Amino acid sequence: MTNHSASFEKNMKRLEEIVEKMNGDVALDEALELFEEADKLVRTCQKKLDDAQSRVEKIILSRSDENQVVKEPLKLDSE
Amino acid sequence: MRMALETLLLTMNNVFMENILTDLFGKPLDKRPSQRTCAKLAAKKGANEPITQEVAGEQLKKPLQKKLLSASPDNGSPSQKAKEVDAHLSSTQNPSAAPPSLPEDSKKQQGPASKAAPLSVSELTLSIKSQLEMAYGHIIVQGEVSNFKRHTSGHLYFSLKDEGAQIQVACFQASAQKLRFEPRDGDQIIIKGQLTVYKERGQYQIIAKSLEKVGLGEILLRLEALKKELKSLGWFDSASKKSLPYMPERIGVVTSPTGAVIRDIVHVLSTRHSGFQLILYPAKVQGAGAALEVAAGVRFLNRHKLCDCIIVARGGGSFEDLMAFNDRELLTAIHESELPVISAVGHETDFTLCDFVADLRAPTPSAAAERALPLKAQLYEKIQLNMSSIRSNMLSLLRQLESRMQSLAKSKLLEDGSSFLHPCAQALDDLAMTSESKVKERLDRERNRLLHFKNRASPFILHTLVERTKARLFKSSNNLFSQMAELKMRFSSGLKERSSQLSYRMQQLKQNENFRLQAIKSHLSDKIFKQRLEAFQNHLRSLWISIEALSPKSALRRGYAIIRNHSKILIKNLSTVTIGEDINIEVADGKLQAKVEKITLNSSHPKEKL
Repeated sequence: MTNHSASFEKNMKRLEEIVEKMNGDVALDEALELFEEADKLVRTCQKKLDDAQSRVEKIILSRSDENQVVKEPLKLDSE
Repeated sequence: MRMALETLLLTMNNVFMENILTDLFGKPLDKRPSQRTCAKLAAKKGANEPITQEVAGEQLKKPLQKKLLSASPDNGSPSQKAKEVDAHLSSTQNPSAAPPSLPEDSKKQQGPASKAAPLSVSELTLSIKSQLEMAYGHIIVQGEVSNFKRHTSGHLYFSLKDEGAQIQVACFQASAQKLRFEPRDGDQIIIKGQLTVYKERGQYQIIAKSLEKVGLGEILLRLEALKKELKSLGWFDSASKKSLPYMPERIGVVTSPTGAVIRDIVHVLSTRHSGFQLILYPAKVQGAGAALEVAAGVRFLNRHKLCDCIIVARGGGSFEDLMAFNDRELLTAIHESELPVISAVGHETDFTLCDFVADLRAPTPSAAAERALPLKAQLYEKIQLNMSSIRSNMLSLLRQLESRMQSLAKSKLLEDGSSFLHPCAQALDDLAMTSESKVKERLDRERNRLLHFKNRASPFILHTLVERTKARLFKSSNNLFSQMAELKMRFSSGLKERSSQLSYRMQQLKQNENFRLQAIKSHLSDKIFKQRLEAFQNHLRSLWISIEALSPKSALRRGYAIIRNHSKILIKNLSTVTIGEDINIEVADGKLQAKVEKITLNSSHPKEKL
């Protein structure tokens, strides 16, 4: 799994944890901290979604070296 | 078991000829079916071959005669007819015919025709029909499909042919439905069925009960064995299936780089998420080597960690087209994949072993794309939902904080910081007063001493002395007072400074907390109140709908009526009604004034009193 998606997934899970915690009984200090953390997480997640750019690529198979990864943008035949 | 088409027809030809001739000439012909045909048949036939030449010949004699006898009731009684036939047959002995052709037969029949009536076309056809259907009631024949037609009724019609012959085949809808493949011109197939004669057209044809592609049975058997084996290895267990990533950063696709499949996938992905990433491993998806290429793709994407999940895709196709996805090498690659694999092979109704081994089976490539990538809008929504829940919790906590702050602020201690200073000031005053009285006391004492001197000494000396003393006293008294004043000033300014510092800090503290509260509140309130308002509106709307539904007006629209008596009281049962009473009936669009003429108590409620 690539790092980015792992972090998105982790952030979302942490956010859900915070929701869970704040639904229970929390001291004010902790609540403020959690709130700030959640705010940061939301910003990060949203930014991740906002910034994402679509990329469609094709692997170019190399006969000489199987372990070589060469990619090029994929062009689809017109409909 | 199987018969080549030519053999079948040849056999039919011989049986048919022999029996016709046998029946017509009263005894079997010397000429037997050719040795070649018999040998071929013997070589091909299994133990349960439905007919053999000899048996068929014996079996067919009786039915034909019976059929001939019963098939012509118009031409007199059965016995009469039998006699005629016998006479006819005995008169046309031709033991040496080898084998005579039909035209020759007819010529020979011309002679004694005056004695025996000719057969009608129906009689002849029925005779042929009964013999053929009896002899070929159960056949298995192999040949090539040509002229295939599917009728709108669902029946299939085609010719089955080989190099030397062809025969018509019909496969009716009930049987056609059960076929595992769609026959196409050129297919080698094996038909199980029976031969019939369509007498209206004088055609014979095979009614196929089942069709099978040559070799398909073996393939299916092997497939079934592989399926069983993989199942016993636990490759299909749902427990071992990997779950798909929440939001894959990159989606790997192994399929053909051309064609509709990859286009459909890209299209679906782009409608779901504006920022997806796809990496295609181009592979052949049908024909020789396809399975290995797809397997290599799955392994390549795994080895280089190029994506978070893999879609193995192929469009719809025939059973053979999809065979690559039943290949053991490919199935192994999918089973060993560390990345979750979605199988999207063929259409919804197509199943391959790939579907069972993959972590998820999608009915189509487009569906696979949908399963792989969550809707971006849904992700946003989820984030928002979480955050608003956190915010509302935070808000209620802040409310608690605020009320606690307010109660603190009201307490006297903090209301005015200078209250600390009051006791200090008083002490200072006390001190000052004490000092003053002490100075006065000393002055008085000195004055008394002076007066004493004055009384005793000479006026001049006294005067100087007094003046001197006075000056001294004045000086020291002045010093004392200024010292006192300075002390007092210093002390009180220190106090003041302290006090103002204290109250400033208190104020700052209060301001800070207020500011923080305000900031957080304003940060939260907009969205939350909007949401609350919306929720409230929704609630109102749903209430309104249920009120509407409960309203008697809607009941009136459905045909019910409200009946009141003259004093506007609802009439719910007969006990409140009397004959001749005026009543008011309300229906959906107005009111009626009516008079009660008759009261009939419902017999099904005998206990209800009037």
